[in-house]
Amino acid sequence: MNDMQRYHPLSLVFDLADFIKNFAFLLVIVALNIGSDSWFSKLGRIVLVLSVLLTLAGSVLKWFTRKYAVDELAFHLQNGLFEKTERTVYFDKIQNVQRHTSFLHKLFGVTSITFETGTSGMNSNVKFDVLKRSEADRLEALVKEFVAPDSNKIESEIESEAVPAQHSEAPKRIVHFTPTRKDTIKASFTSFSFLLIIVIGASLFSKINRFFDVEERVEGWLASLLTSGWVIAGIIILLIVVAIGIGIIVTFVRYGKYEIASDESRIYIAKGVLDETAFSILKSRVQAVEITQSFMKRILGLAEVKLISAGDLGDDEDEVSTLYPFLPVKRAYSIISELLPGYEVSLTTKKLPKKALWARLIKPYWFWLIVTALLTYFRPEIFRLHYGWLLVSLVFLLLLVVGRILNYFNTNYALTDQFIQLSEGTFGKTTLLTSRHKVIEVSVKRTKIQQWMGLATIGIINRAKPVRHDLLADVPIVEAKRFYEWYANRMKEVQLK
Amino acid sequence: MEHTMEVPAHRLAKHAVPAFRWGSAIGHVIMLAIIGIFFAVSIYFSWGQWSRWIVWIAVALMLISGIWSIGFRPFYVHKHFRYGFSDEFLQIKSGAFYETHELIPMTKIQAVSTNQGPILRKFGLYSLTIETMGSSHEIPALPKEVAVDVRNQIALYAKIREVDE
Repeated sequence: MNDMQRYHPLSLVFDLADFIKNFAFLLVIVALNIGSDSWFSKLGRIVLVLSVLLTLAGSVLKWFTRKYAVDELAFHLQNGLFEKTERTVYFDKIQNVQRHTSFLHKLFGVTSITFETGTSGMNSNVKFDVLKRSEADRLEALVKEFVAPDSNKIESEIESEAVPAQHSEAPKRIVHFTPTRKDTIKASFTSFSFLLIIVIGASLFSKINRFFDVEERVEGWLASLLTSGWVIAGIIILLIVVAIGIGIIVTFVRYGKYEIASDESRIYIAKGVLDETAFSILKSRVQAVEITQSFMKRILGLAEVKLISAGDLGDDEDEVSTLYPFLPVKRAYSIISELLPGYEVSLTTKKLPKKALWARLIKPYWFWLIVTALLTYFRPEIFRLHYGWLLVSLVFLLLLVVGRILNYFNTNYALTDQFIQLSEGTFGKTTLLTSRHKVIEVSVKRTKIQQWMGLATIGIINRAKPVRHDLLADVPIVEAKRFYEWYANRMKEVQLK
Repeated sequence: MEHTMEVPAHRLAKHAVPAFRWGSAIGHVIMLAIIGIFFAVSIYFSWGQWSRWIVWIAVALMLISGIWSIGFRPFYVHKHFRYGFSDEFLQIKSGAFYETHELIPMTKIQAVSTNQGPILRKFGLYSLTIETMGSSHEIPALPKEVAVDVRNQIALYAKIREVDE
């Protein structure tokens, strides 16, 4: 490639910002000990100066040696000072696109963009840490143009629709969801669980107080403060107000500006007020859909829907493939069908047979056995009872049994024409929905107990990062066979190259 | 039969049983040698009673695992292993106590290879490793001609790719 170009020069500034973030601790320590003559603070200063110099030199060198070029087929990347490396990443390998605009990016009017491929290993993505918005748009458009016409054809073949010939026209983009203020406030309620901690903490404190007289031991102003019940109540109310305030602000900053949109071939998710993140994925590249409900969300009737992609999706914090995490359940289901034609959450699911409950209950309780063995050996006195350890063991067993029973009642599945839906959970609930042509492998496994009881565990493997293995234990063997045959018929939908 | 799954037809090589036996026998001898070294070291440095305990427990465990994996397991592995393939799927069934059936589309197979260690070589056998995007499967012992044939067949079928991968 002749027309290789350098990355954006602001990379240097961003490298430095990264450096400051990582070395903030050292910076503070050195700054605090600036006048000190001890060998330790001298060492700190030397280390700091050296690492600043190294970072600067490194990022300048990096800037001079890294280059990229784009044509209509692929990214061409070049890096290395002594050992030159050239890498070509074809557009058809790209699974999803993520754009992240941090506050700093905004200040400079730039952005960052990452193209994720489905391959494993270090070089699984093409990442531009800093680039102009126009350049990011250009790159994204190139990738889109390459992939989209093709995929339109595929999808329309599946749906056997006549496709209008002019692809060049800008595809219609529909916004499916943006949260209202009410949604955001409702959402912040799910994170109010830490309020409970304050309440529990306060009640615990008063109990401890009665036993040990903490008040007498705490000295000074704190003691005088804490002795007054009114002051305590005041503090608690203040804490609660602050907690609610913070909860709402955090929720607003994180999820306030959310937008789920789609056009003919792609899904777009944008979010963030200070830090903006935009995610886009080709509909045909969605491997599965996962609906998660924590206990709190279940009470409030909310659900989180996540698109599973074969490419990387970032860490939990910057998770990008989540449709709004506080969708009302019904809306969540309908939005899935809107975004992904064919996908539909079955409401008529099958439950596991009664004998599955027995099979689950008689499975060995290994963890309990280990704990009980330890308790029997040490026989600690708990609650000042001689047989306290026995009580603990029994309560623990009871909890495990209740957990298994709850899990049994929360487990259900559905096997429709092309889709499989698996739900499981104890207090919360997780549902996976995927099509058989996205499932890359299936298994049916049976332990001896399951063989006697006519049950089986079915398993599916989906592309994701890391690869997803999902299991559903204790379905009747007849259903397992049906599942096996269902998968064997996948070639009906699959199109070969 | 309502309470069983359909199984594919092909089985492992006949010589698989002695090959497995030799394999795990050698493995156990090596483990015993390591325990022996530990024992010798513990005597030399006169470590306490605890080191004796570790040695006895380890030897007992090795004995049990030896009886199982040299005496019985090879026979059962051979008896219960089945594989089969068509132009669309590879199917593998294994295990008796923990019965496993796997169905792998040919189009999802990324790599297939024949491997032969010293023990398998002695018996003229090959093991076949089949890798997909999500997992790896093994057909542990096949006669040479069969192994090569199966490998080439699978490689041929696996060449076909699906749209949107």
